[in-house]
Amino acid sequence: MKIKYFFFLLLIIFFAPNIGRASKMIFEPSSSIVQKDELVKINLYLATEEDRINAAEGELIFPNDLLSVYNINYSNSILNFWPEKPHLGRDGVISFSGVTPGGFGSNSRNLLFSVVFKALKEGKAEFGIQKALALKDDGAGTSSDLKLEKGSITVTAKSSSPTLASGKLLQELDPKNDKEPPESFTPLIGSNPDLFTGKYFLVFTTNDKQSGIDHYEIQESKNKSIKDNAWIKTESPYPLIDQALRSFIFIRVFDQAQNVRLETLSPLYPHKFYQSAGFWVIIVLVCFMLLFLKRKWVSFHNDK
Amino acid sequence: MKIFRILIFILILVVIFSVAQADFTSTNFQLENPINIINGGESSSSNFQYLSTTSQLTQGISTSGSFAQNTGFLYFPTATSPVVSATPGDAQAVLSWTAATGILANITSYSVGVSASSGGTFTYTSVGNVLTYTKTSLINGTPYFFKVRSFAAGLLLSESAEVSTTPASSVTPPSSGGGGGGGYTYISNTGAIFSGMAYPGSKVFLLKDGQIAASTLASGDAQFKITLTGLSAGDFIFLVYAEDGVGRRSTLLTFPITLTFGAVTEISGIFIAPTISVDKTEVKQGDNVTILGQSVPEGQVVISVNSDSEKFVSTATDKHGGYVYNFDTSVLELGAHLTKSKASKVGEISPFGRSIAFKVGVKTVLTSSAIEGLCNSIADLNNDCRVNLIDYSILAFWYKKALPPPKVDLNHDGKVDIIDFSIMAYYWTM
Repeated sequence: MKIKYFFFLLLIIFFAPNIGRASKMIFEPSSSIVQKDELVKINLYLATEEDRINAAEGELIFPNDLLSVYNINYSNSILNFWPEKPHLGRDGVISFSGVTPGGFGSNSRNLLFSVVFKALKEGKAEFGIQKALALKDDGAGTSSDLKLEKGSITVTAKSSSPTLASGKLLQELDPKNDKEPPESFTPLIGSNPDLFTGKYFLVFTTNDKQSGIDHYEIQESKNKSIKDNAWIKTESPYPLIDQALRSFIFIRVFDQAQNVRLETLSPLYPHKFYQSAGFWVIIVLVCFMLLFLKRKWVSFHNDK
Repeated sequence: MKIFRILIFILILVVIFSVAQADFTSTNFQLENPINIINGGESSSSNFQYLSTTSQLTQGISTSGSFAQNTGFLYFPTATSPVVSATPGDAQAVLSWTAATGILANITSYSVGVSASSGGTFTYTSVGNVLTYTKTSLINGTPYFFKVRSFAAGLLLSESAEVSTTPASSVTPPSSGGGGGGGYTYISNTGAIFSGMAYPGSKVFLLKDGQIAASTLASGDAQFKITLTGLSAGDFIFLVYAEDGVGRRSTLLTFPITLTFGAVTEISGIFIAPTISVDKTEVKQGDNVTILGQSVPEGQVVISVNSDSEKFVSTATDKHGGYVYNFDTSVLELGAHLTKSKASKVGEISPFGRSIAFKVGVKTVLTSSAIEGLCNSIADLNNDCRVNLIDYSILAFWYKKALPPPKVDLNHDGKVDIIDFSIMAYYWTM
């Protein structure tokens, strides 16, 4: 018994420093108690110590009999790109997978994303994280030691007066408060044999720090004017229709409040003046006119 | 009584493990497990000799009329300079800074200095081991200047460059107002200014949330400044990197910044790590490998070569920021090695830059290009010598799909998952 105790202590001594330096996924609720039918926000943070992290994924689990997802926001996340945006997959499971070029260092409050829940019925709602990974920015995708913390909130009976916190959350989520368009961005054209059989495609992404991105629309046009009825709702990557890359490309992005940001790409290989039919029509007309004038000139001299 | 003995035993173990775990290195030596030499002895390598100490129990200076003795390792450490960002608020300034990385010591605290004039006398306040601090009781409309110092057990290790900001009364986003129709437009003054040192004439890129936002050319003395306005209030990840005259790229410096509506956050004292390349991919043991790159003009560059033990050499940069060092490989074992460099100038120290690999073998193979390696990045899926959103999109297309093409499966485990994205994020450029 004493030997077991001794080895247990020895293990603690050996590993205690490393545990202290492990990254942690932490829940932070906006309130530890919420009334039935009210809203509560849970922030999920990745607290990093010594390791520089550039990717994280996992599943947030919650009791879906007590809570329902009202809103998921990742517009202020430490993660920039999302192979899998935080989304409600199976019942009671929010999956996510994101990366940040360059990574991020020591900080106790790296926000991964926020979830606003609506309380459905009374009880103790416990949160957990499963299948989680935090990967080091080391060029090999090495896993960082990760400690997964748990969290809980208590759902109480509905009272006659709504809480201030829930009312504030409701106001925060009102799209009318978002007056700013999404962030500006630069779409890029690429091609690769492993994607769209080598066809040219367009890639784009941006962010909206308030209400979040709603959707993107695109149109290709031979001239610089935009047609109101030619927009196509799309996602990145988008296989271009004009594979000669001679069209203007317009992309507009809407946030949840329907603020719009428009970006324009000029043709990569614009039409030369001699490539247009109009140019050759004019040339032919001029030629005919010259011929006509010449005949007139000749007949004029012959008449003389 | 037995419990008491066990506790004593545990205490002894704690002392042994906590003391013996730390190794110490500097630019030209490494001292491993210093506890082992308390009883006397001698440690040596090709470029240093360490005779055992009389006492290292306390830090301090012993003096007499004819000698002075500095005791304790804390006399030899350095640390990278923090990069400070300052956001003005109502009668206050919110300061945040990057963690200083200590060499031979762990950073234990920071202090924030404030001055009413640029280059003036700074009054410092110890703020503990934190990376953010709000200076209150300031006068709106008055410019203030700040510096941050890093300390290890009370010893000053590094100091940031000066950053300035002017507090102003609160600015709130305009409301939509009632009634009326028509559009609603305004130009946001929210933004950030980035300044610091890169390489003379180099191109400096600023990425916002992983995408190119601006670029500029550094001046002849390597200084650069990028102003970005018209942004939203919120949390952003800004990345800064530079490309030198021959196309070598620095590592990415990351700045997670929270922008406040109507305020311009200033981030100054950025010191971009040197670029680096080697003239040989494989070098015959005993021959020289030339390590070269670019940094600030007339600065000092420390080059690390990673072998069984890490080796450090130092060299100066010329007036164009260039540096060249012929490293004698006779001290290296056969096999693969990595080299990286960092720079210093007038008290500011950059972080270490990109690591470049070379092999010590039985023959010499010259590098075909100074920027070889960058265009051969495993994450450059469309072979355009850049790793950006296009490559990300190609990878994302194959995320969790069966039988991905071998080139897309970056770690060759038969699937595209978060590990492949992590590898790509490491090699990201623009």
